[in-house]
Amino acid sequence: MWNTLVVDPMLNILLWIYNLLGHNFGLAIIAFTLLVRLLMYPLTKQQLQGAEAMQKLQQDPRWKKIQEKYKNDREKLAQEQMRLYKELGVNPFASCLPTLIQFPIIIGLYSAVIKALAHAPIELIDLSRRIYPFFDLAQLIPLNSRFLWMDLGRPESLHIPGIPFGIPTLAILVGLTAYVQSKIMSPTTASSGGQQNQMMGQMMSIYMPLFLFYLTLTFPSGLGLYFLTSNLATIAQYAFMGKLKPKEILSR
Amino acid sequence: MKKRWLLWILFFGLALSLSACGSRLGANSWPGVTVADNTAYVAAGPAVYAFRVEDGSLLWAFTGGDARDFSAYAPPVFSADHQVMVVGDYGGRLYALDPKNGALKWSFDGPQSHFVAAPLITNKTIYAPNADGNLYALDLQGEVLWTFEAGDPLWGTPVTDGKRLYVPSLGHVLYAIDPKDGSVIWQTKLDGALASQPTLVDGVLYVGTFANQVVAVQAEDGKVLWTAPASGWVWSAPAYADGTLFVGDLGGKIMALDAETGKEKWSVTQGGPVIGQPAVDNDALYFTTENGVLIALTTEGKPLWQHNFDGKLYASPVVAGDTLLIAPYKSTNFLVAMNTDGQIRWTLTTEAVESALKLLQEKK
Repeated sequence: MWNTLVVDPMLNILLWIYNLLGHNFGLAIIAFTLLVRLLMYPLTKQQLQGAEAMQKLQQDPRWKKIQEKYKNDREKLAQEQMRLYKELGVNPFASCLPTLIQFPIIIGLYSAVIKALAHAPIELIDLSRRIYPFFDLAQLIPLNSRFLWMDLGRPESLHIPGIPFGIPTLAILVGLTAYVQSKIMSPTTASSGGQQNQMMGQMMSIYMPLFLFYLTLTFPSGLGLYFLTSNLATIAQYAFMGKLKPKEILSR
Repeated sequence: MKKRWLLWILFFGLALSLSACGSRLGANSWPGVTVADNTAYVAAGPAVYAFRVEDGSLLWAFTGGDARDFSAYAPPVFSADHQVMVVGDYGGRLYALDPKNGALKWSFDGPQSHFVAAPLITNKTIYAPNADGNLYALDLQGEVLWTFEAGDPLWGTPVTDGKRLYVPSLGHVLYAIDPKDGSVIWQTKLDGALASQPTLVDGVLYVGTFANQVVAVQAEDGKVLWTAPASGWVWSAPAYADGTLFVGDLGGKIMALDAETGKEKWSVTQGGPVIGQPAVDNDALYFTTENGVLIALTTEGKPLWQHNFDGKLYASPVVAGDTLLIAPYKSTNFLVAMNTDGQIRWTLTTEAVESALKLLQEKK
């Protein structure tokens, strides 16, 4: 069900783009990631607006006042918070729902990239079953998994003459961009609710880049390319909406 | 507070999902089986095993020596004097072992990708095709003699007539190269990928392609003699006996073709998709199918018997005297020995083999 509805359509679109872009898998992954990000743009925008509204609300004097007044009565505090949400027209889940919807898309995209990079017999047999009949897969195989210096079916490392070991450049780039991305996305307020968010944001800005760094280091580099494109797309999206303030990000 | 937990759950959910559905370097495949000197050698992931054909007792297991993430699936092959056994792994290393005890003689780790296919060994040379698109020629001591760059992945074992080496590639090309230096003599582009060793009979090469075809190519000059249609990808080359080719495809069709003309003599559709090459023995054909059915037919296509296994049958059946060896994939059975009439002689369960391997590793 999951494969039929999510992974297989994504996989077929990915291969369609691959065919269109002169059998270059790297460009296909980049174009496909950007296409998915573009389609998700309304959701991302809604998420940002929701998060912004919440931040503004947390700086509202009335919000601070009820936090102080009902700090020992959680039930009453929740009631008052809901009243304020309604009064100011803020939906507390507005920033959460788009995140939830993006979740299966990210997993689906990831699975599609991995499945398309079939680099062993069992995986190739599996791929042959997922391709829609109008596709002439026999012509597409073998998929050209080379992009720049990388084999997208294998973990990346760049061998520089004079250095005895390969440098995981892609993993480093993914880690760095993930760090910048999480810094941009982390909340700035320092109200009581904001403090929790800020703390969480700080933790996420450490663990998420490390996690993505590890994945890129050990998984086929096609996935790392997807992470890198996705991170850069998010950063560009924030810049486009005027939310990218380097000084402010560095000071957090 | 709630939102924080929700985000943490999402984060760990994402981490788990990515880890669970990911395919790391340790891609897997079906086992590769070879029989020599009453011993069955099975390359099946983390180890290469040697079992006595008579009763299935484990003689030794090789787990890659010092190599991390050893995983081998291509059938082991032997030098002419049977003093050296060679097996390639998915980490791009080639190992030469002593077939008597599995002791490592040497290893070669230049290639950048998987050894999907078994190498071809002639009197003095090992020809090892790799998924990195290179064919490596080594002497029996593991020294590289030359490398032939095909460019596209090589998943099929080459075949030779002594004069030329015929190399199938996933890039739709069948190459004839000089065994002395790897220079190209001719190359023929076909309509689909070639994933297995061609069958060479009387100066004609028979190959299966992913363009749903069986193709006959003249060994002398690479000229296509005929093309026969199939109902799906033809993964393995046909087996040959008495002027007839026997082949199965991923569409589930099993057929017999006239080797001279490519004309279909008979066909049956039963069992399921066929990946492995059929075994031919004393007027009987044995086909393994993906849905776990082993089919025995006469060479006229009449059913003899069939046996259902749990798991999938991708590996070709191996005939060793009066024993038929079957190595299922993702099954409770690791290796099954049958009489040629379909009676099971002995079974090695996956659990028993895994326990034996664990014991061996603990002893180390």
